[in-house]
Amino acid sequence: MSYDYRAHFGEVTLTQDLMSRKDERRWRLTAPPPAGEHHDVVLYLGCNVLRTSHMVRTVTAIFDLLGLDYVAVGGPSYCCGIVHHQQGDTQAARGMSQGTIRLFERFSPREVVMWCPSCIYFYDEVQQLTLPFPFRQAAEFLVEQLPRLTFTREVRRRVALHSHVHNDARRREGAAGRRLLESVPGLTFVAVEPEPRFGRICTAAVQQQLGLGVWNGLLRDELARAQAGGADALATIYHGCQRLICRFEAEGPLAIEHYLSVFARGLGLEFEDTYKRWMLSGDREAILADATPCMEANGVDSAAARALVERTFVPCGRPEPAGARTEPS
Amino acid sequence: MPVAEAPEFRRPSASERLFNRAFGVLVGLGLGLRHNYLLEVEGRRTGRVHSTPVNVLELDGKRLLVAPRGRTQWVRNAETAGAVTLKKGRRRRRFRVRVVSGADKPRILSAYLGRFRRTVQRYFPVPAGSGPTAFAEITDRYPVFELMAGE
Repeated sequence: MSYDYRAHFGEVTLTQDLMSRKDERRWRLTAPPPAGEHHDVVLYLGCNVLRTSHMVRTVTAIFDLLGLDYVAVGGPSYCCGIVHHQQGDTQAARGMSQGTIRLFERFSPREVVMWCPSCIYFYDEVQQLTLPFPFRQAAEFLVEQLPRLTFTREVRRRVALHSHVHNDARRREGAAGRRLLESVPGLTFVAVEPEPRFGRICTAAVQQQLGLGVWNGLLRDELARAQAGGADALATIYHGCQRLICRFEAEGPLAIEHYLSVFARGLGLEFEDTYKRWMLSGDREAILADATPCMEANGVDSAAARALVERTFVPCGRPEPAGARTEPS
Repeated sequence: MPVAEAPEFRRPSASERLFNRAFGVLVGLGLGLRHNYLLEVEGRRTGRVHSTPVNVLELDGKRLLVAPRGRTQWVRNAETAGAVTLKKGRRRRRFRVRVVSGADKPRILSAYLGRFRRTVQRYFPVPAGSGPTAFAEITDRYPVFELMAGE
């Protein structure tokens, strides 16, 4: 039986539709006009980050502060193709990735900033494509912008970073995340040795590979090491890490936040992690009530919403079987 | 679990609020001492402009704002807006704000308390005239901003 791509991407967009209204989105899900539309920078979000739209709001708010001429794009229209690649559908994957490059070209950008670690991995390391414009991962791009940012708030926290050391690219991204955290006034960075067994990124596939019990044990060990180092928060490097790790906040005492949320707080920017709040709540009816304004504004089918909430958020606090689904990030 | 630090500040009493309002009107009209200004900042939720009288400290050629009551509403609004306006009489000037952290802060707090002891001593547990080291342990309680020209 072939992989249900429609269900995969449908779940991403449905989650997004439960958490944000179309009119408040600063990111584009549709293709640019064929005639083109110039922007200096394309912020390429990928797909899965749309499940945690507070991160998209955060990074676009930072780009706004920087006064960049940019466009943020993501979702299935801009698919990198890694999902198809992981299903062995290499031809479709190649077509997807090249189609997305053609969409980028319509923006005639000076640079493409890639948010998603899976997208950049697929373009740069798997396909090794030569793109017609320079590209970098978002954390590395933001490090270069640091002299242009003015911090307005002290963040009195002791923060450890959950990062990946699978290869040089992931190490660079982790180092960039660390550099960003270290630049926040008032913040004390707590160094914690990354766990190599977490692989390239945190996904359900990695959990399945290691066994959920082992994965949970490694994560709890990392949290314990962070706590022993004096941390009061663990910052996650990728959106996929945040989705999988945020539920551990219930075990205390560390707060679990995406590193850019912590960084942005120093710039006076704050967007609530609704995904985490719902994950920690696990209360189906409360979550649906919370999502109602977005569901109504986006015309979401209530049965589909209910099913997604049950699938995604209700099992919080119970051991979850590691899913066999493909989940790039 | 707490995600953001619990903000602490000393709320003004009803009489202090009344005094601040009256003093703010006077400063807004251009009265008051050289360091008195009316601070205007957009509300982080409403966008409405709020104002409050402040003392501006000049130190080493820098203009500095200290919040002796702690992380008050104007502080949180300034953190979010990234900019404030200082008004005195008809003059109005917009500044970007940069939070001051780390080693500079004790010296600034020491200078601030020394300069404005009559009005702000009650907010500090150390006496005016104390050196910077006396402030090292309490810097967290007092947000400090540098005012930077050119928004």
